[in-house]
Amino acid sequence: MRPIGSRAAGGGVTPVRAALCGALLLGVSACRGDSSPPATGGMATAPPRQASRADGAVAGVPAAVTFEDATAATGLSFRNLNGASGQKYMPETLGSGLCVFDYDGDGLQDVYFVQSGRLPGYEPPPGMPVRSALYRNLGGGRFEEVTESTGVGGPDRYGFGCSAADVDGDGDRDLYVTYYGPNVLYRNNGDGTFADVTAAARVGDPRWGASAAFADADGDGDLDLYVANYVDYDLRNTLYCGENRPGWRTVCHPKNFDSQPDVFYRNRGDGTFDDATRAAGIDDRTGKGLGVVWGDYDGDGDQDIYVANDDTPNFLWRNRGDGTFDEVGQLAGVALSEDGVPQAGMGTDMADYDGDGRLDIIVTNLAEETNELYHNDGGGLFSDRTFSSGLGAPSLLDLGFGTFFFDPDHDGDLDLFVANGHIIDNIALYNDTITFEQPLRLYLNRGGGRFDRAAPAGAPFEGGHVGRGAVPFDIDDDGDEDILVAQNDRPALVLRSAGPPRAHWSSLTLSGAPPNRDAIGAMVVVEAGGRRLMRYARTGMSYLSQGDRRLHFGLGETDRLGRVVVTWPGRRGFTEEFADLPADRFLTLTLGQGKRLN
Amino acid sequence: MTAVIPLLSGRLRAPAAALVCAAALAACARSAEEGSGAAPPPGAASPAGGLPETGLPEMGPGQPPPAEAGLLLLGRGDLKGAEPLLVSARRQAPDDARVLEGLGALYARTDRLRQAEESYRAALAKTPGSIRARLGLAAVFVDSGRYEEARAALAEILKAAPDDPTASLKLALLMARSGAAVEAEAGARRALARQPDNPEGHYVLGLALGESGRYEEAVREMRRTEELQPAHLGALSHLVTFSVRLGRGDEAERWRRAWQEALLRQRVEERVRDHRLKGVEAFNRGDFAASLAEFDIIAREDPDDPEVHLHLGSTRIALHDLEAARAEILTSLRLEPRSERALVELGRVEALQNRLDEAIAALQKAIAVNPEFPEPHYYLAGIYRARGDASRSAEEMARFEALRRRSPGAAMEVQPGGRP
Repeated sequence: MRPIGSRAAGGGVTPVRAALCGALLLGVSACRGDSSPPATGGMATAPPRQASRADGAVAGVPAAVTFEDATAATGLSFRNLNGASGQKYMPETLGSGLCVFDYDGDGLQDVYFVQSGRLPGYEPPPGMPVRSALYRNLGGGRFEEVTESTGVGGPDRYGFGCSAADVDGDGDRDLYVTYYGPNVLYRNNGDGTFADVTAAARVGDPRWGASAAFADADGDGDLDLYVANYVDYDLRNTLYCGENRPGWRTVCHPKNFDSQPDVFYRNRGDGTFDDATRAAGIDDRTGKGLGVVWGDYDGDGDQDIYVANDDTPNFLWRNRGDGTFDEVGQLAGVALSEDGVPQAGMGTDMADYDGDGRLDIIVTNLAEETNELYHNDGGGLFSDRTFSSGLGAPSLLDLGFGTFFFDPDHDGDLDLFVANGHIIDNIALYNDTITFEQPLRLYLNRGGGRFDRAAPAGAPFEGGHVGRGAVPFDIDDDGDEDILVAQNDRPALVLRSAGPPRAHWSSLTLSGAPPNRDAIGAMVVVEAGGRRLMRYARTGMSYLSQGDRRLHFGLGETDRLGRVVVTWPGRRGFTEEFADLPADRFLTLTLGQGKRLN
Repeated sequence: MTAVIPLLSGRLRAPAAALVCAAALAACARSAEEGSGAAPPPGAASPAGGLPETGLPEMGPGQPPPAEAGLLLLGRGDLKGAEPLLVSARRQAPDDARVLEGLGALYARTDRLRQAEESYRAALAKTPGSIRARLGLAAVFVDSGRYEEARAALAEILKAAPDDPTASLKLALLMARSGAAVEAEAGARRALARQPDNPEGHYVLGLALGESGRYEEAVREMRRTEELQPAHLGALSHLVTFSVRLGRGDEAERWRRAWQEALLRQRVEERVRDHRLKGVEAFNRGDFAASLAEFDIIAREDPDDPEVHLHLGSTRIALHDLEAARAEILTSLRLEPRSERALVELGRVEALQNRLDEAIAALQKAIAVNPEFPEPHYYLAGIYRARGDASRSAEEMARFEALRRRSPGAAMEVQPGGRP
């Protein structure tokens, strides 16, 4: 008999080690406005595929919007493979994201899905390539996969999120992908192919990258990059979490791991970057970052950064105006729950949901927490309106990831979408109320700062899903917003808004000055029908993702845009007015072609 | 609360109950002690006849019946111990409202809200006037996001007992959350009239005043909360934001630091994580002196952490310091009597000291705690083999292997093909 507790021969893990490890460490052609010449007053106008209003749509009181599952019809056949092998590695439950961007400059928005990947002990399904996938938009809501020819399948590494923007100012959009391990920057060669320029661009952060987003932080015209990093997790030395019973093992809570600092890269103007994290004042090592969105929350003309952190206070990096930042999350009131506790921040978005001209913030959180709504009161201060808005109680049993404000019913105010799905696949063993697969949620803006959770808005809302990244995207260019959802270890979902648009609308594409031709950071205010509707151009948002860059406005009964005011980004940014534009069109607003206001 | 997932307490952490129980109303845990809340249940027996302080309850002559024993264990927070007793008691006496309320509290505290609701409703069917059961039911509604039903349940209580401070406070909090500041203020003041030093009363009043924009008064209430319950995260957090709104930046910064310190105090794991990681890493590479040093630091920082005493015990075993190992494992078991891992380690140290009967007893307790845990069978096989009982050794080894096959990722990774 071998002495009990001695080291096993042959390198096996001994019980005594396991005792510790168990506890701790085991362990549109018509829509191709981007490159079209300006037609009227600086705008390229084109009719949409379907611009007519739905007969029967009640003017001013849009009918309830419904969505249909159009996944198969679009050809977007991407399936996430999470690499799970029973060891409950932490990365396996958190991916992945997707990006909508026009990679080939044809004016149609293409789609990139980030693949999760292999983990130790995992065998992928036979014949299924473990790689990210790029789908080219063929128009009419149809796509074809072009991963092979474009060269963006990615390394054999575990992927999470992405963001796309023209980082080198050459007129095409490049692609940044985050990994558990070094991130990758693909330069768009302008010929339908990409090249991995990570090393030359110096953006291959080796830590666990989650969401990433581009914006011009210092007003010099080029696009800088913020990457939210998550936790210091070692696949070779993992924890055992959950009860010691067959089938009860679970993924671990992030509290068991140290946070990894986020990274901020300043663009040198040529598509290469300096790690300016410390120089920019972004020097907080406490955040376990998952979601990121840029936006000018204080209206001072520069781009600030909001980071949804898991288990730690969320960050609000206030831009001092020069691309350096102060962390003001707690002082501003956007770091914690209403009861002063850090929550499990996942996805996030900024938008003016109540039409007061200021950007508010939504953060999705864990089940048994709420999705948190922070109302921008002005003066750099927010108040927590989670419960009083009606978003709190209905989200208690959901675990939210991807989220965004949008206007699917074209009534002019912003509704809210949340992609849910738990992180613990065997949660039913531990909880009789919360499920692993969870419904997608649509929260309808009722005005007065109140939301109601919608009844299932079509078949895709009726079943359970394991939602992660999610973005709004007018996939068939018919003028209303559809939804893309990336799931964990399941096929991606396409939720197409059923039928033609329910009321008038406008879709605006901004054409700025090089190198920021997409005018990332531009603020647009549409005045129509006595309302002021605000949107802004951004890159990364939601969870690990980036949505349609076209700014969509629901106009209700109003069939013209009385006035559109664009505040262009950059130090030399200025405000222009575009007046009396037709509704129900995809329009391109070009810098310098409007009436200059300042 | 989520007591059922070791090491996962944050992921499945205190549910929205946190909002009601932990942070704001503290109704569950505290009122449990005061005897006015949802838990623990009433009628807990005195420990006369006694349940063991450590280890499993050994029922028999002189022991209290299951209802009393279960309620007693529930009162002590021993949920795993209480559950089988209360379930058994319900079978024996389905109309015993105390047991039904106890089960409601137990299920609510272990994330089984459906079962909790069923138990509370059954209790109310037997004793419709039970404030405790109705409060428990209201908490279940809050935790599952059913605020309208929660409001109705609380209103029902207040109809029968208009001065009930817990119900007043819970309802006031729900009102504050929904933006009904006037009603929230009134409810909080009603509760404070009965319990002037209830920190949660001042907190909810502060929330209501803040909602009304009366920040000076709100600050006063939050400060009072913090005086009565230092390190109240909600109060400290609102003191930050209210101070900012009052233009008192320095004060805000001071409160922010206080909040950070309070959080750190509450999250012991944040402070000791590095030591734990280093300790385990050192252990796994065989540097037991280093792991001992790291675990000792954690034990000094958090002497009530059962995990670290278990780790110290395992390290001491590795260092062949068996008496010290035994003492550490017993400390771990005193803190967490139903830790199957600690019981296994106890069995191991007993066996290494050639106390095979005691070893067998400890390992069998581990099996009783968790019949699906493979490891104790492995060690039992070794012990029986040592005793020359090849047949029982083979039986235990077969059980071990069967369980291992069902649980390839189990915590303890005894070499699958290995022999004891």
